[in-house]
Amino acid sequence: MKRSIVTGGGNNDKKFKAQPPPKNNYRGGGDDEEDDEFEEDDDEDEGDEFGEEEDEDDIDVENIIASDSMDIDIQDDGSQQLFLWSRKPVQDLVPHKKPLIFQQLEVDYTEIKEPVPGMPGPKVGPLPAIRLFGVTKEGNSVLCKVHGFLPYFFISCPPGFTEADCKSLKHDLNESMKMSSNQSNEKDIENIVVSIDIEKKKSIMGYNPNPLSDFIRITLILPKFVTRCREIFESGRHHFTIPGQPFRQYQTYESNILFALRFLIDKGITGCSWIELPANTYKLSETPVSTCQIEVDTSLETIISLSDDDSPAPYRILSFDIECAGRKGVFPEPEKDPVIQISNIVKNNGDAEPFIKNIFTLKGCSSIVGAHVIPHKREEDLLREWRKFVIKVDPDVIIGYNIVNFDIPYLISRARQLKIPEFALLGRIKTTISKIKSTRFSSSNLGTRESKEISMPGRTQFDLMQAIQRDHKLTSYSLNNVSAHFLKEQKEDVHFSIISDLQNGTDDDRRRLAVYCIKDAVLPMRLLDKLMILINYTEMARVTGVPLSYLLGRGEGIKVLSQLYRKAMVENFLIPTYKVTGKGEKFQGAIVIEPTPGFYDTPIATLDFTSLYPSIMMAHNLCYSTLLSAEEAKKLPPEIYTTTPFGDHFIKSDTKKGLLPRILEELLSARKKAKDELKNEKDPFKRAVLDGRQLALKISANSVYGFTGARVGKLPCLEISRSVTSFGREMLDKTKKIVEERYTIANGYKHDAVIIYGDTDSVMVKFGVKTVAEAMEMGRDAAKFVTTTFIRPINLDFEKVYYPYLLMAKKKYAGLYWTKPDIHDRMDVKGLEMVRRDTCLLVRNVVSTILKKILIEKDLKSAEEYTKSVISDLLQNRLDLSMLVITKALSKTQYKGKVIHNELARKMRARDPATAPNLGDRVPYVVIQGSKGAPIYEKAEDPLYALEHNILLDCQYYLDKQLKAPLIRIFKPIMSNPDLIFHGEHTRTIAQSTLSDNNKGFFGTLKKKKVCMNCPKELTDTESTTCINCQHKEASLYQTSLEKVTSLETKFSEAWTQCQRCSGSLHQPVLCSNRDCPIFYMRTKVQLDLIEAKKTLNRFNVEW
Amino acid sequence: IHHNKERFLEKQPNSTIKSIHKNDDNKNGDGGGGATTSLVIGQHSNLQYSSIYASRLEKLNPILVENVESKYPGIPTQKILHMKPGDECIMIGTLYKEMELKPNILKAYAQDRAMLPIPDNRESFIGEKDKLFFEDNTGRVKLIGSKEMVDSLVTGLNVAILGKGLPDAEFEVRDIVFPGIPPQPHSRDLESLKDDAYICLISGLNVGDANNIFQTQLLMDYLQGNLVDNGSDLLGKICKVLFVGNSIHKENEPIEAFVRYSSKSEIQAKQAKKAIPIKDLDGFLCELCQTVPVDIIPGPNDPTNISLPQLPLNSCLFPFSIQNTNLTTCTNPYQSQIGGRLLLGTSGQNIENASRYMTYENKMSLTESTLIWRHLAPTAPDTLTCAALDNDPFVIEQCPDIYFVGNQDHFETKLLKGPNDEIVRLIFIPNFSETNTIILVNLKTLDTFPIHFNTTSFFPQSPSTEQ
Repeated sequence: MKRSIVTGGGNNDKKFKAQPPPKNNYRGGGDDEEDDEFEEDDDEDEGDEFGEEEDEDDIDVENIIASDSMDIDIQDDGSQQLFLWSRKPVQDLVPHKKPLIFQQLEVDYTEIKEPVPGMPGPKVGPLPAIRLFGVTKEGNSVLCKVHGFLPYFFISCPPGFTEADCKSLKHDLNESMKMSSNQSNEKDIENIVVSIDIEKKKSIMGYNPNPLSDFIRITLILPKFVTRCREIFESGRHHFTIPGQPFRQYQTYESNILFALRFLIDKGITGCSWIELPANTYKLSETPVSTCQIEVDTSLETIISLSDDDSPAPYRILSFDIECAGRKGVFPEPEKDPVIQISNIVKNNGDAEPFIKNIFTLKGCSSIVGAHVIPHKREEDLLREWRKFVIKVDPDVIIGYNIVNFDIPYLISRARQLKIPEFALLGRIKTTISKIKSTRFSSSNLGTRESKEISMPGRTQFDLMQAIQRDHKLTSYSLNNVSAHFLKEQKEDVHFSIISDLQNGTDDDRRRLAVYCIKDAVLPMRLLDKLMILINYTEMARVTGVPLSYLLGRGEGIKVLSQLYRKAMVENFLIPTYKVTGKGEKFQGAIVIEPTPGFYDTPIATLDFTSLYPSIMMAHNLCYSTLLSAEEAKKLPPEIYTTTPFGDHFIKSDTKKGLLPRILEELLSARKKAKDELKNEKDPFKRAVLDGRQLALKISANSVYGFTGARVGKLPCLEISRSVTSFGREMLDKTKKIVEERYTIANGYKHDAVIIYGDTDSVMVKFGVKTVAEAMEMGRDAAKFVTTTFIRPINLDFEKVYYPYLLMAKKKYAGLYWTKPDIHDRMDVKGLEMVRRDTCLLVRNVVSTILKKILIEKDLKSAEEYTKSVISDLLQNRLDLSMLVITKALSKTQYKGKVIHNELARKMRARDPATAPNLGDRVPYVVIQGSKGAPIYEKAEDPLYALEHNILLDCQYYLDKQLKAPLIRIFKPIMSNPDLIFHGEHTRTIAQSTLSDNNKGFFGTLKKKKVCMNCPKELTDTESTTCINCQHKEASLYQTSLEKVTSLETKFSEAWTQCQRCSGSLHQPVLCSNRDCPIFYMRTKVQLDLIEAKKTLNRFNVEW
Repeated sequence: IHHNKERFLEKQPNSTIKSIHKNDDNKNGDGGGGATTSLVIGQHSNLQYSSIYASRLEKLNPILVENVESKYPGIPTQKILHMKPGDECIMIGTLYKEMELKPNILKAYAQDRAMLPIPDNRESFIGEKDKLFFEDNTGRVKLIGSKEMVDSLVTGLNVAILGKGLPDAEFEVRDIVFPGIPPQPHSRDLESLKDDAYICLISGLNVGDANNIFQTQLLMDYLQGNLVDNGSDLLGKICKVLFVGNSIHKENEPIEAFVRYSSKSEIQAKQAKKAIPIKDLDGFLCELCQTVPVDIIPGPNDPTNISLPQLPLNSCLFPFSIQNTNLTTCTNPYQSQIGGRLLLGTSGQNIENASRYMTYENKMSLTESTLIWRHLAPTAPDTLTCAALDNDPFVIEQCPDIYFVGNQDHFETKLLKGPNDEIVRLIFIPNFSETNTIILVNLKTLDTFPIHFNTTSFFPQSPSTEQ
């Protein structure tokens, strides 16, 4: 049913080409958050969106496991430990006297068989009930079931259809629905169609000055019927006619919104908000279905959203990690490989430290200070006990690293394999088993992502890996690299191939493993705190109104849609449900003013349009509800509408203000407010909340444009998006014109200003002045002046000065960044290898050093000297191997043609399947010397293999293919002939492969003769270092060998002591195989080199 | 006295010191090639530093057990693993001090081509957030104690700690027990020593430094007896001259030299320049060895490997002097027995490195501490480069009679009396090229005094007054 996206293996192609972001169809130029292309998987139409959970299977499960058995199961085991894990008991809950107030985190719905007495809605079941899961201020978990809310949607009302026709439509439609049903249990439902009403509404599409008109509102009994009912109206297949009307198809409205979200929208509840159930409006459930401490039923009508309260409840966060014992060479599979350890960290939100830290192990394990080790004899027990632990701890949020795609599915599949049916009861509903579903969503920003979705009602799963992939661009998303990047510490890494060995060892070996496993649960918790991810996402949920779990699992579109619905509802607008085709014409993206490359040793002022796209939409009143067709426009006086540079027409705001501009205004003014409050706020926690909020508001504002341009989105409107970009282009041109005309010698300025470059929302101006202060002065003046020529709220802002500034090409520049006249803030680099991920470290480091020399030291000569020395080091093979490692992810097994890293992976598998990279792993490689003309993929080699076998790297390749282009690009604007850097004396000595001890090759079988260290002469038995003729050189040769030894010794000790520090133990050998660690290869190489060098040194010690 | 070619080692065949100072029947003092390899790089290519810590603890554990049993009888000794929060116990293990200011290769590594050595310019690693950890072969705990306690200890010490376990891998320390000064052997040779006998200690000769030629010549004249006027028989009683580190001048290379491209001729010129001081020293030693036996111990600037233990300077460097059996090239750290006295000494790296970890009254007290710790270089390998060995050669198993440290800025000495009547002469040997001072030690009495070369009084016709 996944129709929307490219078929077959092509998806992966897309996924990996997506980094760096591919050229966007709408705005070839854009590179900020705005350019999302929402390609939501449209199989949501097929019930995905309504089928969040609770299908028939649940009922089956109920038959297998008596709902109470689980409670007894756990209560029986009333050990001290389980008691310590539990939440505090509930105090004073008096439904008829006291209100119940809680913060909701998860929202979904269920089907109930019988209505709850005293609640609104139909009096016969089955019925839907909304479920809000949350926590009270005291830390008690709550399930609140809201009754009386039913799914509905609209169709436009055909002329002549009146209240009187409603009854017959209801009857006919009901019959039709029943007929189209093929499931027996639905036959019992008497009234699928609950009611037909006529309401005064208006479609959001197109400017419509007429008053509200009639729309038919169709209310159904269960959300799962909505899609089918919509099809009856939309498609001709059913030949359904409204009584008294000729046969036709109908446009439906608001028929594809998630049921739970619809509820939140209608009740004005946002994600993560506080909810109040006033006294006497709720009652405790008689037969609780959940493991929550408080379970209540309440009515749709009396529930109150406390939107002002932004304090977070003390919800419980569980971070966990599992280890599996795989077989040699195969990535663990749940069908075969056991789960051997599960580590857990539990913390209350707001606390500094976790209060539970434990590890469940298979077989004995030596104890670990500070953590509770819980050993198990059988894997079945391990899994059962862990599940009991989860239920008892009752976490609101479950976090971890890659848990959604690995840990949780693995556990569930493994439990199924071991026939532990109750294991999958991980959620808060006693009878609902957690199921795994594969989903896929894609956007141009994030690429296509395949992921799994695990239903676990009541618990929010928050995978740190997904969050970080979404919000940060990194070279690698391994936990090692992520924690090195954000927490500034390297993590020890145990390769999965040695996990089994450790597991089969002693208690101490398993303890070793357990320590890693715990660390893997601690790190996500620390990342969560450090990056304030939960705070930021909570704010995002509040701002956009969607539940927390939607933010990671779904695209950007849902956030805009939620806001659009909320606004539209107030105005009585209806949002049509479109069948999206995914096709659409392309149009020109954002403009770039052609750069004038060069090295600018004068201050360059940068003027930026603040929130460019949102402000264009506001200024020109671009909205669905203000769009005019060409014919309509012709009929109207031209002064009341705007014609965009692309040729579309929108009504001006004094006639009718659009919905999107209003949403944007609110977002941006709320952001301004948050920023103002942030300035005055001292409390660090509140500051974090405010900062998260302003960020969420900014992202939300920017995503509105993308929403209108998403061809596969919920409500694409290319007229809006192409108008936005065309305005952007026009504004950039206009700014250039104004600045260059105004700041001229003719107008009394000292110099003629020149725009040297412009991109999307910024222009770089060379005013010709000498000091940063003057440039700032003029920049501010120009920004102010240009702003007056645009419609508010478009605002050109002076932001910074670059001085000096090295402009190489479009989107490739570097400069010192000044916001204060006295000292520069930092060096800013765009689009260069330094910030790109697909090059080796050498290139990044060299580019960065050269730029420092040019921009900060302003010493071109030394930059040149430096470059030469790097080239000479490279050619003489003196560089550290890790500098030269290139990494690519192995994203699929089948590639078209021979792809370097795939070929290498194949080679490595043949060598040793145990350590070869698997699908999804990143494959690091180096390019080695091969026969002349050999294709590159034959010359790629595993860095460790190259190290251990002393294989020479193809330095010429690194020079020509890696280093040369970026260096030429940098030097070109500065030097007349940058090619000269690549020629000369320093390039003449090139390392050649020699017959070292390790490099056996073809000649491995030949007996090696000892040769004089200075000349090729063979040594006699009495000579050990030099021949008799060269003996006078012995001391000098010794010195040379010594120098090598001493530098290797220093490196060896620096590297290996650091590894000891990292692994946190002096007495245990370092096991780490973290290839992301910058010293990983170096420390291995230095080990080998040191032995080799000392062997050479030893030759001097033989008596002569 | 017989010029002592009999090594302490030969009398103590089981001693682990064997690995420090090998039997030198062949007079270039570095034994067979195989032995050297195992000494410096260990047996296996994947050898790591964990084994040296294990060996250290294995050697000192019995001593610590004995110490705590007599000091705190009845208090249980516990492994970290089995420690229960709240219970008082004793644990035996290794200290590790976490300090942010320690040089960190990861920080340095991200820079440039990762070729530059880490700049080693910090005088002290002490910082506000320093933490002390304690480790045995079962786990690691954080030690809770005063900042003073943290600042008075270094990484790598083997100690016993008395205190109380806290939850969350912490341990509150009440007392720390060290191994204490090792037992001092008694030598028969010493009884046979009827007359005064001296050894001469010289550190930082720095041959090849242009500013230094004059003093070096004076020294030679003095040692050869050319300068002594009124029949002082002191000189005749010098039975051994020890050169303790940095005998050869080394030009400091600026850091830029690493990143600059050097042509072949530049490299050759550099090598030729480096060879000159070594030739000078060869000549110097050749002359000196004709009158007196010489032991030469390498130091941080000398042309041998840099990690401890440093190998003896290679015989190929001294083609002339090595032919005289009076010259012995030795390891650093150095240990030998002369005239019944046990000598132990280093060229100073161990004390210099340890001093960066802790606050100390004076360097002499720190040096004294190394005896109480029974360890010459606890901070190796953490911040002091050392070879990855299976066996820790730095454990002091026997208390020396003379314990010297080279490359100091001034002369200092102390006669240490241990609790079991151990008597140790501690000596700081000043840098000769800067202080013009050498040290004489009387082996019979352990009296120690400096000889200062005052250029004006020894040689009135100094070049400055000549004109």
